[in-house]
Amino acid sequence: MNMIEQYLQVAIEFFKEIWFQLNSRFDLENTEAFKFLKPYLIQLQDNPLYIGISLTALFLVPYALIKIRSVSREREQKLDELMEEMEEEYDEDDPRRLRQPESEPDDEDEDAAKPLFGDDEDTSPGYTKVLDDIEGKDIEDEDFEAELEEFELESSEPSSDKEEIGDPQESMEPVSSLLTEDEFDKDLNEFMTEEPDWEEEEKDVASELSLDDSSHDEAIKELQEEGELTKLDEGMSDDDPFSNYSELDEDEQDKAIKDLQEEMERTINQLTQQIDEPDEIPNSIKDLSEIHIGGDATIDEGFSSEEEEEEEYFLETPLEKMPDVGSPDRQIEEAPPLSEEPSDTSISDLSDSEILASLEPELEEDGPESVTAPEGMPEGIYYETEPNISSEAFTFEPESDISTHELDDEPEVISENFTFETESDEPEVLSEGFTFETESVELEDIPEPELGTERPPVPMEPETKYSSPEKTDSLIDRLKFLQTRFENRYQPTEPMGAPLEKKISDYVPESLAEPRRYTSTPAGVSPDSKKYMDLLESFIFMKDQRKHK
Amino acid sequence: MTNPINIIAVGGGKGGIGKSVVCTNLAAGMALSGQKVILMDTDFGASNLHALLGISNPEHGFQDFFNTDIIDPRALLLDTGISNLKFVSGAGDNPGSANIDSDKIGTIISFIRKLEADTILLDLGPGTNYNVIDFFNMSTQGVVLTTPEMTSVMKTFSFIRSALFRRISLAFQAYPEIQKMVDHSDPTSADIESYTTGLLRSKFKEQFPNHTESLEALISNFNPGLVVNRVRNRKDLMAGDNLLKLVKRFLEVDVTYLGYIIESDRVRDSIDEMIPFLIKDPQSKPSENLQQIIGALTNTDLQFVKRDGRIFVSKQVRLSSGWEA
Repeated sequence: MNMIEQYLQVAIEFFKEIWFQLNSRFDLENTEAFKFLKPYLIQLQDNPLYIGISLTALFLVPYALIKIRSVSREREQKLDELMEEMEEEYDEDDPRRLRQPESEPDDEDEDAAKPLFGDDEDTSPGYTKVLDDIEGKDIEDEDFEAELEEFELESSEPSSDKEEIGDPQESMEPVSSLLTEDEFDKDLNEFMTEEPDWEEEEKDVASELSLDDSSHDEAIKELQEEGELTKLDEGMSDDDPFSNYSELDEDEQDKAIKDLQEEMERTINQLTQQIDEPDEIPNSIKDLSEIHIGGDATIDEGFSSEEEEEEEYFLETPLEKMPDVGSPDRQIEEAPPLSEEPSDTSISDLSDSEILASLEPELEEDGPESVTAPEGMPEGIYYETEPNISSEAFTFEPESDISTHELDDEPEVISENFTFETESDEPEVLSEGFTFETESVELEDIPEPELGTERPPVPMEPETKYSSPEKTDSLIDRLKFLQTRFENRYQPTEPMGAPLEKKISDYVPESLAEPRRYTSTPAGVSPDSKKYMDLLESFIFMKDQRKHK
Repeated sequence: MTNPINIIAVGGGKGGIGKSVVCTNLAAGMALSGQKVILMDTDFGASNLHALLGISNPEHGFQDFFNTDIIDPRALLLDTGISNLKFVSGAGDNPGSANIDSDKIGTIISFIRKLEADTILLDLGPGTNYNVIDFFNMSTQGVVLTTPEMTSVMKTFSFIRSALFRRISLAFQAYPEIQKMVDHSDPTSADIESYTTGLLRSKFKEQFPNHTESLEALISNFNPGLVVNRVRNRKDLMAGDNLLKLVKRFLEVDVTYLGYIIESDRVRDSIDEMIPFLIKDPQSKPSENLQQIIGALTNTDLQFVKRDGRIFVSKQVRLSSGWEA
C-alpha cells in the first residue's frame, strides 16, 4: 500500500509540476476554460472514482486519437506512393505533380513571434468559449490548424496579402491534405475507377467546353447548372489514369462516380446557399488594377484614415484576436484582420449587397466577435464615458451584465469606426471567379469593416447552420480537391495557377501593404536563443568574471 | 489578531520602465477590490506619482516625513478620489533628495510601518542605490519590473542581485569580512570575487562555515515577483523567462512570475489624462493583465467592469484547491 501511495504521490507531484509549468507559460489559470472547469476539477479531486475515470479518459482519448491519426497517416503514405508511381506516367508540367506532400512550414520561429493572448482571453464571449472548447478537444485537427496557422502567420506579414493571393504555388496547392481520410480514400477510389484514354477525351471535352483561364470556376458552375457536369464526370470516368489501380468492376465504378457527382452537386448547392455568391462574375481586373495601382485619392484617404485608427491600437487588436482562435474556421477568418488592411479598401469598393452575400458566413461569426472583443468595442464606449473617479463604487455585480451591455452598444460603435466605407461599385475582389475557392475569398475579405458600412444590420442566421463548421470545411475542401482534379484533367498543359496569377498581380497594389509598427523578429539576437542568453551574461559580467561558468 | 500589513514594493533597475504607472494601477485595483491601500512615492528626488493621480500641489510631501510637528502619520495621507486609496507623496523633494542618508531612510521606513492599511504600495526610484534597495527589502512582497529590452533585463538582474546582497549585508553587519564580500560600496576594500551566490557560498564555506546555513536561508527566503511590462509579442515574454533563468542560475533565487502587461497606447493616454488605466478602461487588455497580476499578488480572481462611468468589481478569493501549484 505504501508503495502505491508513494507512486500516487509522485504522480500527483508530477502532474502538479506539469500544471505549474503550463500555467506559468500560458497562464492557463486565467483562461475561461479553466475557470469553467475548475469546480469540476475540484469535485474530481474529492472522489477517487471520478479521478480514476478521468485519468482513464485522459489516457484513452489521446491514445485513440493517436491511433486514428497513425492509421490515417499510413493511408496517406500509401496514397503518396501511388501518386509517385503515377506521376512517372505524366509529363513534367503535369499539375498533378503539385500534389506531392508539402514541406512542413518552418514556423517555429514565427510561432514565438505570434501575437500573445492565446491563453488569457477572459472576456471572450460565450461562443468563443465553445470554440475554444472545441479546439481543446480537436486534437485531430492539429495538422489542419497548423496549416491555418501558417496562413495566419503569413497574413501577419506586411506583404501577406500579396503572398497569400499572389503566390501561384499557394493557389495551385492541392487541398488533398485537407480532406478527411475517409473522404479522401473514397475520392481516390472513385478517381481510380475511371478508365484510361482520358487524355484524348480530355482534349475533346476541354475544347468542347472551352474552359477559359480566367473563368474556369465560372465554367464549372455553369456546367453544373446545365447538368453538363454529369457529362464531364462521365467523360472523366472514361479516361481516368488511375483505373489501372482500381479493383472495382464497371458497375461499381459507375456507382461510385454517380455518388461523387451527387455529393458534389449537393455540396455545391449547399455552398451556393451558404455563400450566396453574387451573380455577377468579376468583370474587370482592369478596373481593379486601376483603382489600386492608380492610387485613387478617395481610397487612399479612406485607407489612411482607417489606418490611423488601426494603428492607434495596432498592438492590442491583433494580439487579442489570436486567442479567440477556436477552430480552423476561425483561424481562417481571423487571419485577415491582422494584416490585410489593404483589402479593406478594395472591399469597401464593393457594393454592400455583394459583400453581404459573399461574406455572410463570416459576418455571422465575426459579428459577435467584434461585439465582445475587448479592444475593438470598448474604444468607442469608454472614451466617450469620462471616468468619474469620485463616483467609483465598489459593488459586486454578476458577470453576465458585461456581455449584455456590450452587445447593446455594439452597432453604434462599429458604425462610428467604419463610416468611411460606403458605396462602391467594384466587386472585383470578391468576384474574382473563385467559385470554389471559398477559403481564398474569405481570406481576402475582412469582415469587420463590412459590418460598419452604412446599411441595415446583417440578419443573423440560425446558429444551427454553423453548428458543424468542420462539415462545411470538409465539403469546401473536397470541392477544391475536385476542382483541382478537373483542372488537372482538362487542362493538363495549362498550369493551374496561371489564371489566378494574372489576377493577383493586378490585384495587389503596393499602396495597400499594411505598415507594421513592430517587426515580429527583432533585428538582433532572438531572445529565445542561447546566443541571447550568452550575450546577456556577457553584458552583465566582466571579462575576468568567468568563474561563474 | 490583526493581519500584518502587506507591503509591496515595485522596483526595477532601469528608469522609465513603468514602475510608477504599474504601481499606481496596482494600488487602484487593490483599493477597488476592497482593500485599504496606501500608495507611497519613494522616488525621492524625482517624484511624480502625484501627477499620475492628478493631484496638484500636494498638501504634504517629502519634507513632512521629517517634520516633527506631525505626530500622526495619517496626516500625510492624501485623498486620491479613489475609494480606499490614500496617497503619500514624495513631492517637495529637491535636487539631491535622492541621496539622503540611511538614517533618514530609516525614519521613512518606520513611518511606513506605522501606517494603518491592508496594503502599502511603494513606488521605488530607479537604480540600485541603497536608498532604493532598502525600501525594496523592507517589503513583504517585492515586485521587480522589466521591459523586454535586454538593457532592462540586465538592470533588473542587477537590481535583484543588489537587493539580495544588501539583505545578506544587513544580516551580517557584525562581520566585516562578510561585508567585504557582499557590500561592494567601497571598491577599495571590497572582495569583488563574490558576485554570484555560488561564489559567495563557496567563500562562506571556506571562511564562515557556521553561517552557511543562515546564508542559505536568506537566499531561499528572497522571492521577488516579476512583471514584464510593455510586452508586444510572445518573444517579448522570453525576456522574462531569460531573467528568471539568469537569476536562478547566478543567484539561486526563485523569482515568481506574476504576469505581463502589454504595450498599449491606452496606458500612455491614461498617463496624459492622469487617470489610472485600470479605472479609465478596466476592460482593456492592459487592465486585464493588471487584474491578473493583482490576482497573483492577492490570491484572488478579480474582474473589473465599467458601466455608466461606474466600476464594478467581481472578486473571487482563491481557496486552496490542491490544483494550484
